[in-house]
Amino acid sequence: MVSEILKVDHVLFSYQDLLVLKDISFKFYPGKFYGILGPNGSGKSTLLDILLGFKTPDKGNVFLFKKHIKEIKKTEIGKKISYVPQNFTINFPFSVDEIVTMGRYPYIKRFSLPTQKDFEIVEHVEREVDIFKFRNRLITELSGGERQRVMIARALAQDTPIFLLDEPTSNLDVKHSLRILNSFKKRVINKNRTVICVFHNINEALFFCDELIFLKNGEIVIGGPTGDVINEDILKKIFEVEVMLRFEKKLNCYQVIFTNGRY
Amino acid sequence: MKKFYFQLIFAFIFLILTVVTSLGLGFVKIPFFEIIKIILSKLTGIRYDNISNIHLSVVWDVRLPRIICAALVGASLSVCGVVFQGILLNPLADPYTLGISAGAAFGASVALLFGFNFLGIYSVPFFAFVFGLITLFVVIYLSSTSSGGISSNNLILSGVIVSAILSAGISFCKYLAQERVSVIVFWLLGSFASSTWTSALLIMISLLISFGIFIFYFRELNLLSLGGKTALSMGVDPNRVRILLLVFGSLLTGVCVSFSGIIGFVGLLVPHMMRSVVGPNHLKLLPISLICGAIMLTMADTLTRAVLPTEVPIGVLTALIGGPFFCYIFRKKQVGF
Repeated sequence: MVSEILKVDHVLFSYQDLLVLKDISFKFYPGKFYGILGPNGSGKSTLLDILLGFKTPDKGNVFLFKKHIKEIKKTEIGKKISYVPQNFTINFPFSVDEIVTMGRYPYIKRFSLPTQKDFEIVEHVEREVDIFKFRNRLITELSGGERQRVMIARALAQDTPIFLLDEPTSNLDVKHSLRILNSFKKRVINKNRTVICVFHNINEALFFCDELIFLKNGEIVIGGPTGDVINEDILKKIFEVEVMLRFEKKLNCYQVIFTNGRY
Repeated sequence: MKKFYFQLIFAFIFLILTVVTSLGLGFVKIPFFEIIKIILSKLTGIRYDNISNIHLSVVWDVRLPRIICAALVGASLSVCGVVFQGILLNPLADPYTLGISAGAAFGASVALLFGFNFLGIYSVPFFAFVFGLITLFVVIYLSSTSSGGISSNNLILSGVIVSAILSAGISFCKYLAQERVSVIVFWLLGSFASSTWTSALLIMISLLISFGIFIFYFRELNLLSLGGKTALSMGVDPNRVRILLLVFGSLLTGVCVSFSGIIGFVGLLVPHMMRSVVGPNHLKLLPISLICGAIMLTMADTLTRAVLPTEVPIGVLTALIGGPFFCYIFRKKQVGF
C-alpha cells in the first residue's frame, strides 16, 4: 500500500462570514493526476491555497508527507510543491530565461551560480513548453498565453513531487494546452509525480485525470477514479447544464457534449 | 555577469572622481592634487609640507563630511527604493510611499514647534526617526488581514491614507508656529549643510546593516516579483520577508530623513534607470543602485553648494531636476511599446 503524499483532513475555511470550504477531506497519492472541477466560486482555488499552505484553515489540518504543513520549513516547501497561478502580473522586466531559472533556486545555494545540470533542465523545459525560441525576451513584452507558458516552465524546472496548477491552460491555444498537460502527464507516469489541477475544460480533465474531485458550494460532492465518478447526472447536478457523455474508444476515455443553451 | 562587474567597477571609479572633483569646488577652489594629498595625509598620517591649513580644514572638516553624507543618503534612498519597489510589486513605489517620510517630517515639525532640545542637535533627527518608525507600524497594522497576511496593495493604500493625515498635521504645526514657520519649512526642504562626521558615521552604519540584509535576500526579492503565492511555492515565507525588509528599509529611510530632511525622487529615479541598465535581478540591481544613487546625490548637492549662485534646498533641486526627467523616461516607455 502506497502512503499518501498530501492529505486534507476535515478542513473548514471562511472569508469573514462567507464559508468557502465546509469540512473537506481527501488524500492524494503519488503517481496520480488529479482534476478539481466545479462551478465558479465553489472553492477550487481556495482549496489549492490551503494545500500550498498559503491560507491556514479555520479548522482541520493539512499533512504533507505525513507532516503537518505548519511544521515544515518554508524553504523545504520549495522542494516539495510547485504552483502555477491562474492569473498574475509581473511588473519587472525579467527575461524568460531568468524566470525559468528561478525554478532552480530551491536547489541552488544562495549566491552560488546555477550548475551545468540546472542549465540543462532549464533548456529542456523551455523546449518542452515551446518557449525556447523567445527565451531571451522580456516577460513584460509577452502575450498572456506566452507568459503563462513561462510560469509553467518555471514550475516544471522546479521538478517537485507535487504540482499544484490553477487552470494552467486558461490562456492557451489548443495545441499548447494539450502539449503542456501531456508534459505533466509524462511526469506523473514516468517520475511518479502528483499533479493536482483545477480545470474548467471538462473534456481535458476527462482525458488526462486519473481521479476527479467535484466541488460545489465548498463541499466535495464526489471524488474518486475518473471512470467511477463520471456520469451525466453528476455533471448536470454540478454544472446545471444538459450533457451527453460518450465513451471514445480511440481515446479510451469519456468525452462530454453540451446539449442545452442553443438561443 | 562579467559585463556587470565591469559596469560596477566603472560606476565606482566614477563615484570616486565625482567625490574628489566636488571637494575642489566651492567658494574656495582647491587644486585636484592638493585634495589627493590632504586625503592621503589624513588617512595614512604622512605629513606633506605644502598643504595650507585652511585648505585642510575646508576639505576635511567642512566639505568631506557633507559630501560623504550626501553620497550615503543617495545610496541609501536608492537601495531602499529598489527594496520598496520589489516588496510592493510596484515600479512607482519609493522609500516615501509608505508614509515614512511624512511621519518623520511630522516628528521633526513637532520637535521644532515645541523647541525640544533634550538631545542637543540630535533632538530633531531623533523625533523624525521615532515618528517615521511609528508611522511604519501603523501602516503595517492597517494593512494586515485577519489571517496575518499583508498585501502590497493594502500597504500602498494605507501609506497614502496615513501620509494624508500626517500632511495635515504638518500644516497645522506650521500654522501654530506662525513667525517661526521658516525653521520647519527649511528643515522639510532638506539640506546637507549641517552634516558632521558623526552623522556620516551613523548613516554609514545603518546603510551597511540594511544593505547586507537586502543583498542577503536578493533571491526572495526576485521571487516575490512573481507574486506572494508563487514565491511561497518556491520556498519563501512572503510575509516574514516583506516585514523584515520593510522594517530595515524604513529604519534606513528614517535615519536619512532625520539627518537630511526630505529628498524626493532619488529613490524612485535611480532604481528605475538602473533597471534598464542591468535588468531587474536584485543581485545586480542593489549594488549598482547603491553606487549610482551616491553619484547622483553627490552631484546634486555639489550643484546647489558650489555651482548655483544661491544654495537651493536639495529636496527642491532633486524634485525639480528628477521630476521632469522621470516624466520624460516614463513617457518614453509608454510610447516605446
